[in-house]
Amino acid sequence: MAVNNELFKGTLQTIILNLLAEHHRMYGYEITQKVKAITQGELLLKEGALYPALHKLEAEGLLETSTEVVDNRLRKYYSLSQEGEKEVVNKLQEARDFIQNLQLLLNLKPSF
Amino acid sequence: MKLTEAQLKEIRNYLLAGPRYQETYNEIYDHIVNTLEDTEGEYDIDLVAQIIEEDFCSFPEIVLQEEIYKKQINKKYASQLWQEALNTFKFPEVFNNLLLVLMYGLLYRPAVHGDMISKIMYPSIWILSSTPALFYLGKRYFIDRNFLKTSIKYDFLHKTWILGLLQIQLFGYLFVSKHSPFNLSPESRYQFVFLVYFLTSIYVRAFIKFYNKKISVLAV
Repeated sequence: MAVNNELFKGTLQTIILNLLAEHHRMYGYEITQKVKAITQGELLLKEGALYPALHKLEAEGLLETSTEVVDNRLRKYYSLSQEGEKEVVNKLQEARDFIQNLQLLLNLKPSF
Repeated sequence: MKLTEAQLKEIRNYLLAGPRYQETYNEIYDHIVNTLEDTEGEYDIDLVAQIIEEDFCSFPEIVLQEEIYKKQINKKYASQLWQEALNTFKFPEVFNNLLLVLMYGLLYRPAVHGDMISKIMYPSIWILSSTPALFYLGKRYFIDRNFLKTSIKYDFLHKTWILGLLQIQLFGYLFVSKHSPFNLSPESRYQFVFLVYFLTSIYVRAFIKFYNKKISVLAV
């Protein structure tokens, strides 16, 4: 069953920051494919939401960018800045607290 | 699917009607080619239109997002330029400022009693304050001359050099030039010209540092 994408809109930045914390540097398309692979296609990250989120994080100084020529085309890579590395810890804690509260509110039991 | 050079060119041409800036153009082009390469079947340009429609909504939506991105970038660059200006008061950059202060003392007598202000100092302020314009024009019309689209960085560079030049020239006209509406004593005039020179120097040094760190690289 596909997950309603509206549900994870608020956590998009956390997802991006966490993926970059785990994979050092990634490009836009790679991030969409990674989310698809991890969630086995349950979550589809729309590019129309991904790129604005990446650009916002970059403008806020949480991400750094670099460009490389790959197969004769320019590819823009995103990685965590020093500030971003600190922020990912806070964001993950925020997400954990939120999920915990959501479980309490909706009487959900963790599946693990 | 494996794309041929002719097909890649067709995609590049198709995208020319969409994104306004080189950076987003490159990013969307890379994304579309990656998507097509991971897709089974025959190539068709309609697939590109479909990807744009499904993944990015539409060309107008891309342009809308670019405007938001440009504002965010401008804000970030403004804060970085300001930071570079503040850095001129930190070690070891502060020595350049101290050198200027020393120059103030050394030039005091010849400037107040001679015509050094109008013949040397005022023209040098003009030249100095035009430096960011040279960087901007060189970047836009020489270094990036092969770009298909304009860079998203130009907007900030353009605004910065015009605003900087106007402010400095206005200040110079009001307090330093021969046509100043204020009747200033030679001592006050020298103090003003030196203040303008000092601020211009900080602005230009900060601009060059900022340019080398953020603008001369490919990524935004």
